[in-house]
Amino acid sequence: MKVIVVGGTSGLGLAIVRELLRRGDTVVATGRNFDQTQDLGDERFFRLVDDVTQLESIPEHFVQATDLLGGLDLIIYSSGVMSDVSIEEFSSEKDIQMIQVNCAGAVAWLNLAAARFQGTAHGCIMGIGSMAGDRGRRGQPGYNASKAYLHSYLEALRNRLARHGVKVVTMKPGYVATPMTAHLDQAKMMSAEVAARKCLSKVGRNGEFYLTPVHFLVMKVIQLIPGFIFRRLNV
Amino acid sequence: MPLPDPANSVHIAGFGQPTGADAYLYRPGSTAEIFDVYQLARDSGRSVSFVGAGRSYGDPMMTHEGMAISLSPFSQISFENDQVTVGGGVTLDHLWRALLPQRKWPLVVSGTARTTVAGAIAMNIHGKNAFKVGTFEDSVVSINLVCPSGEELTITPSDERFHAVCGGAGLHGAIISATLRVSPIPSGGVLVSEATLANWDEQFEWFSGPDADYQVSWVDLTGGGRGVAHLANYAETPIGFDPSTQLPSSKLGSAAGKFLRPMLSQPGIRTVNALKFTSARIKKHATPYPQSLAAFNFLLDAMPNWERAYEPQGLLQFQVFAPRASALALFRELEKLQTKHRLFSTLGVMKAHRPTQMLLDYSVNGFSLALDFRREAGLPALVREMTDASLDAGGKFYLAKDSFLTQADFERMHSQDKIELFRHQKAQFDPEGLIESLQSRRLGLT
Repeated sequence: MKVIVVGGTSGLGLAIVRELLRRGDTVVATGRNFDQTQDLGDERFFRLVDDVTQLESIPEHFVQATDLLGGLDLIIYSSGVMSDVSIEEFSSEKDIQMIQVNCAGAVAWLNLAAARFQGTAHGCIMGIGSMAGDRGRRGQPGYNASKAYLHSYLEALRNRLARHGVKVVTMKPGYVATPMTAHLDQAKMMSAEVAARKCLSKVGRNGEFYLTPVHFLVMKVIQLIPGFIFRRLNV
Repeated sequence: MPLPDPANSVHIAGFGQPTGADAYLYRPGSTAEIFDVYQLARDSGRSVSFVGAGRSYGDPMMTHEGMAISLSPFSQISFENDQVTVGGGVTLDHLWRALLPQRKWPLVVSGTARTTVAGAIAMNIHGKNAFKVGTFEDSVVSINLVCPSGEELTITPSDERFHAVCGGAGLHGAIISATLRVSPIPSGGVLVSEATLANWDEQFEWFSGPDADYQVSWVDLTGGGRGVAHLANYAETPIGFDPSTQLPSSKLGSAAGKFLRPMLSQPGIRTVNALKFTSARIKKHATPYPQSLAAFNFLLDAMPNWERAYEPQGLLQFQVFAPRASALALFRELEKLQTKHRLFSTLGVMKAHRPTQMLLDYSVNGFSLALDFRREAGLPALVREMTDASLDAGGKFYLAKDSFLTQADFERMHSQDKIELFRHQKAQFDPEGLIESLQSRRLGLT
């Protein structure tokens, strides 16, 4: 497969890149810093410097990526930030940065992929959302909302592109041991490698997926909790 | 850097092929717009290829991430005496429907009417009357070409480059229009005679029989070359029904592909062929029967989407053109190779041919055998051996049906001088080498 991984230079994105290369796929990874990719060969791996907040450069980077690959079968949007926000903090700066990376960058990359796949009538779009996007929780209003936006946007793409044979997958990981969660206790978190394999197992499907059945059940229960109870819970 | 728009992306695959290449599709409506596409390709470092109706069985219409130009907006048809000037995007279907009320018919048509005039010239198609009238280029009076060199040219047969453009796989420029000679016809029909033939000897004997306007034979490759042959002559008197309404048709309609799929297994092929041959023997037409020209010629359109029967593996067609002297031995050898590999063609079609003036000529004084296969494990090895046997026998191949030749094979078919001349002439039309395809690269033409 010919794959673009947006945000493929660290964390879950990098683990996905490594797994794709191990499987024999051809990959363009985008990101700002490729220090962690030095051990990857360059036969089937292309590095493309891209900052998802620089929206005006994305159309050119998209075409460069598809030229490098000589086609496109799969795009994975893995860029994401979760700012450290304290329980009483309301920082527009942090929230807007999350909107830029988690939402605007995704739209800028994935609209191009959607337009292309609509024409070629094949391909798969995967967005890395989050369990955190399923409810607005007291700890991370900006992050929750940005992931909820991504889920909703991907659902709409899925509904638009289904008639063209294009698949759109929303992954909803929980905590994964990546730099994003480095400030938390990672002892019980799923490793990025396992999460990457679970994400890639859903390529070519249509729908929203959690990484484990337990995550699925927990989130279904949480979604059913009425607001007047939910706002009293420390989750 | 100017960018192509991802919204122009399209996946282009050869006819019946499981995969092809993604490209950017443009439909320029004027000469100026064609030059604009050339410029965008130049500026963004891309190749250009031309896509017609997508009926070629291989990869002459695409490059990965290239600019594919469709000439469908060039759709005009105008008449003058026994000539017609048509846009490159006009399909043979539109053309025959325009000609028939005037009691005229295209001199050469392919087995499907979906092909475009530009594609017919670029591939230099042939029909069931190839032995009598030659290939499509024999009907072409002039070609209007828009070239990457910046020129708009009218090429006629007196220009030696004409014979490279015809059959040149669209590598010289956009064939925006052409003037064609057409056949006056007494009615819109033909009188068809059918014969069942028991073996290869009878096939060859039948082709050397009485003169006819059209000749074609179905060959059972699982049955020692037995088959059912059809000979047709233009009907002098009205055929008893409106020839514009009797079209190739199948009761299965567009779902035919699905129904046919189980019959393409190796035991299925033997069974279907045996039933087909036996039923032709039993139903035997004692006297010639009338048929419309459209129904007789465009048999491939009788079952829309029939190529889908070959999904998901896809279809491979192997069509060799063999000189008269070696054809019988070669066709027998091809059958032996299929027996050896236990892979049989689902459909074999034999036609007679005569030489043409094409630079990269495929048509020989002899016979062609077209064999359809499902792409399955073991087929590449069989195709390799069949290709070698064909080249050893002086056989040639046709670019519209090629998806498997190597550059070395191509150089066995055509002398180095001819290939060099082709490249030299192409450079006059396209000095920067903007136009290319996966096929032209594979065969070393670009």
